[in-house]
Amino acid sequence: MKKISYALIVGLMCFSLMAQAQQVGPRLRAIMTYKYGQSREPLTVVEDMVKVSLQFPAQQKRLAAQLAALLGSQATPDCKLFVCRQLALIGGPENVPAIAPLLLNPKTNDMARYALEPIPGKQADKALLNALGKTSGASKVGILNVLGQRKCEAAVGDVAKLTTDSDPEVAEAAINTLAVIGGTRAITKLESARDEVTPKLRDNVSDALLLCADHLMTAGKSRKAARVYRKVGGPEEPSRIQVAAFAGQVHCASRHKASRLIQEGLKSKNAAIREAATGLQEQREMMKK
Amino acid sequence: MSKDLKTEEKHKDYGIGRRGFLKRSTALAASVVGFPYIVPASALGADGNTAPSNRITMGCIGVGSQGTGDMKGFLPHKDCRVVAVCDVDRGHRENAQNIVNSTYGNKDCKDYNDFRELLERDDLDAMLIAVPDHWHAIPAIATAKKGLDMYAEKPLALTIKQGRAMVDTIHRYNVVWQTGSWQRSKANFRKGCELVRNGRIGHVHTVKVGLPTGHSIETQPVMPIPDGFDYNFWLGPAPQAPYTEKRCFWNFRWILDYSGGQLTDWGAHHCDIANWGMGTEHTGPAEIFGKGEFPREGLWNAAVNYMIECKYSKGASPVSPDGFTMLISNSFHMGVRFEGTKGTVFVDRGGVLETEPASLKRSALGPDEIHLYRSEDHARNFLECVRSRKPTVAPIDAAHYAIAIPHLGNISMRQERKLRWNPAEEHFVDDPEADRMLDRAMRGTWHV
Repeated sequence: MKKISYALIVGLMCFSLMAQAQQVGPRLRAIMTYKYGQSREPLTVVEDMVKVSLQFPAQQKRLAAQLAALLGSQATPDCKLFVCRQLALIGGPENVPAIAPLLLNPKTNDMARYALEPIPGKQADKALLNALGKTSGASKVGILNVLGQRKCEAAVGDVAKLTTDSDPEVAEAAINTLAVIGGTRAITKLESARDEVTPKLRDNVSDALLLCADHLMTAGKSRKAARVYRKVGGPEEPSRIQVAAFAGQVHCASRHKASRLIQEGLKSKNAAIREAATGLQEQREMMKK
Repeated sequence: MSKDLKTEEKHKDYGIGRRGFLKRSTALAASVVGFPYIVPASALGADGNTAPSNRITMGCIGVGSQGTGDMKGFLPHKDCRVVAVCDVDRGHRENAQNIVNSTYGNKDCKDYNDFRELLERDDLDAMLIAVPDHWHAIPAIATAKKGLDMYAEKPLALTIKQGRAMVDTIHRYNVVWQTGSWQRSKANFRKGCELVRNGRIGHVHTVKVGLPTGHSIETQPVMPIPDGFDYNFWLGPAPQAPYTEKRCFWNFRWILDYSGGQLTDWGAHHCDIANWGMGTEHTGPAEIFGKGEFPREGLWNAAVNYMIECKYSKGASPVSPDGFTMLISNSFHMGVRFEGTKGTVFVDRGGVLETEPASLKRSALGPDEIHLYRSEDHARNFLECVRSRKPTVAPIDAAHYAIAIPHLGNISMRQERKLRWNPAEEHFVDDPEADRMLDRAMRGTWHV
């Protein structure tokens, strides 16, 4: 009985996929069997269709749907890779359900991320977050990186938990992702993580906080940025971190305060800070000219 | 610098940083060269050699044809020591290693396949990076995070967003950066730009940037990966693709997964000069319209023929109050031609500097006029800046704004439409579809 049910489900799925494939026009059907080494002309035709569709939203949506349908079909892996890269250009939230399952398979995780990273909206965020808990290794790292690039603030909580993951690559990616997302919540999580992560990753957290401070400075939140720089650049830190934190404080200070900081830096006991102060002074002199 | 004197921890005790030690050693050398009986002059560099402790130690990531050429540019400098080479191709790696060892007459140069292992060394001051474009951002950012100075090849980055990440990281870690935009260290380019910047040709209305025509090739067969070539590492952040010879090494330039064609390869040089002359090194066009011809078949897919029109707003350039147009095409003569209300300036490689009127070429600059950064030797300039901590002649911001122009042109050509650009915010104006092409997701675990 179980075997019959399974066969029925598989049969229905095949029928559904065939039906979807039938919906696509001949130009899209022509790419379904594409393999590297064959003529690229059919792909070029579809690229042209994608280009034209950019100026006609309804056409773009229709074409994206047809392309997305190919992801569940028996199209070749080379075709699906091509399709994902076209969806990166014209895909919308409504195409996410067709792409999301590919995140779970290590062989298709990359192509799914190519498509999802630029697709706007919460659907893509949700699909990535959902897959985050169901993947491991390189796939998980890749998803973390995309969440970072999307600046997905909703992911901060889940990502923060991974900063102490037993897989060091995942933990490192989680730290970096928090930095790329930035913002007050990410900073709080990173400050907590600083004492929790493995010693090898502690500097990564400092690097991440420096990036967060840069984000704050760019957003005009100089005081908050200065606070982070001061906290990160303690004398117990490696010189490169101290230098970056010192330079950050100079950059986000008022002109007068920046001059004072540079003067203090020139007298620092730490030679790296003195060198940085010299360089910053030189830069300011050159800017004046 | 010798390894025993190099570690930060050791210097920390005495309050002497790596570069502080370099500077102090130079001063010390200068002060005692007259006393050879006390300290052998050769040990301090008076005989043209440099004391080992006073050398800038350099690693090289990417030693294919371009990287090896760059590396050879540093080898004659006595105050620089190449201590390690890194490449994912064993042939390239061993060739570079042999060149270094035969230059120094020893076997000290170490070789690495993985740049991350090279970065674990604690005896490096600087890194030379000359990898394919799709790899530019990752090792540069990792190197900056180690606090090392960098000489790195153009075009700055594969995408505008990667370029921005590089710029911000280099500034964050306060490291010295020089792009391989060596045209800036040639007198004719500098003089031409100075004439333009000082208004000698009046208000500039048009800049014509002439670049080479692209290439196409038929579909290529899948081939076995050559022994000693770590192809998966070579692909790195780029999408998975089967190996074929014409994909890799010099030819990566003609494939959009790894580069942007002649437009970005040469555009990085000549658009940089255009920006230098126009004083637009920290801004960009407001409008871009590109028309290009891309191969419809075969392996290489970057534009073969192209014409890009960039319109700059009023005030973008100090020598063009009403705005100007930059045209970039393979249909122009190679080089950069500035057209103003009172004349023209044309510069190109081979020392070419042509002006209209011709007398303009001989015109000298007054002390109160704009004198652009003077560098006679690109590699030398980098080494001096590593010591002085001054900005180099080819800073990273300039490289970013220069390559942004060809990138924008490629995006416009690939979307076949006119685009409006916000150079301050670095995104297109009300155009999320075009914004999608400002970056691309990376394969596997790679990220910037």
